[in-house]
Amino acid sequence: MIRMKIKTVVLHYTKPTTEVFLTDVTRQLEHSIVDSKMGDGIAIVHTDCPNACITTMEYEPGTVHDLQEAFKKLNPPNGHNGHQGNNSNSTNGNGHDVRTTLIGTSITVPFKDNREMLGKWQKAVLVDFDTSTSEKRVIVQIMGE
Amino acid sequence: MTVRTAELYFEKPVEDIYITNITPNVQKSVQESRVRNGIATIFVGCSTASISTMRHNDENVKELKAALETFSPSNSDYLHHKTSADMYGVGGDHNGKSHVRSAMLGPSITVPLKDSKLMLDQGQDIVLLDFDIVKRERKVIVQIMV
Repeated sequence: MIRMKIKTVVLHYTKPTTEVFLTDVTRQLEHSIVDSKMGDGIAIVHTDCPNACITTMEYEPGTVHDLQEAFKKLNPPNGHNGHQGNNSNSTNGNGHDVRTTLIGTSITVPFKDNREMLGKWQKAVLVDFDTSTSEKRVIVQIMGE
Repeated sequence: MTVRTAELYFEKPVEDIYITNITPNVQKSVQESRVRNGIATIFVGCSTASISTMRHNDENVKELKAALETFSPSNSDYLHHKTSADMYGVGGDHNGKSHVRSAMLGPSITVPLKDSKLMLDQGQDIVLLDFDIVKRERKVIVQIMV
């Protein structure tokens, strides 16, 4: 039996705005898989930040905009749901817990013959809800043979 | 270390959201892989569908559809309709809500395996959520590893 290999790559992203920001991380994911030299396996793409998420989407300005609008419907900027806009129950007052819980902090992308199996238009994306521009870590854990 | 890849294909009968219970198909792939203990990643490689788990019955499907309408209403105008027309020509896509829903729910889940069985509770089903507004075949990848 071939021994399983595990490789961890930590990526760093800093967004240019205090608004919700979406970053396409697909290229770095592809590079991480290529560098691992593994043929078949899975790549877990995870962020260890409580107010950021990982998902996949067609990364184009229209869908980015539409998703931002949907986030507003989930917890409105001026709503009274939990600590949004209210620092009393929160350490940072950015109140995006509902969004991060719904979307989740990780995805798992299979790869075969050293290539990720994302669809043609499908990109891996970091969604940063933070109201500060502090750096976010994206951890790519590659497991396979 | 063993990695086994299975490809499953699904077609839906309607031109709108459709939620398919794919548990029996995934379980069959696990059995055929001969992997006893390990993990199975179930992944859909497109931006208008998702994989999740739920208790799949008519009532829950109906309630989930209603919940999706709250943040991605069917009767809204989406910027994707315009940008896709600019990018790809013709009339563009009219599936803005499908893209939003897919990004919200995500493309993958990973389920542990024991004795060649998916470790799901009775009544917990793996579902393919096809959010697109056209009929098309969907490929689901099952990556089984030990």
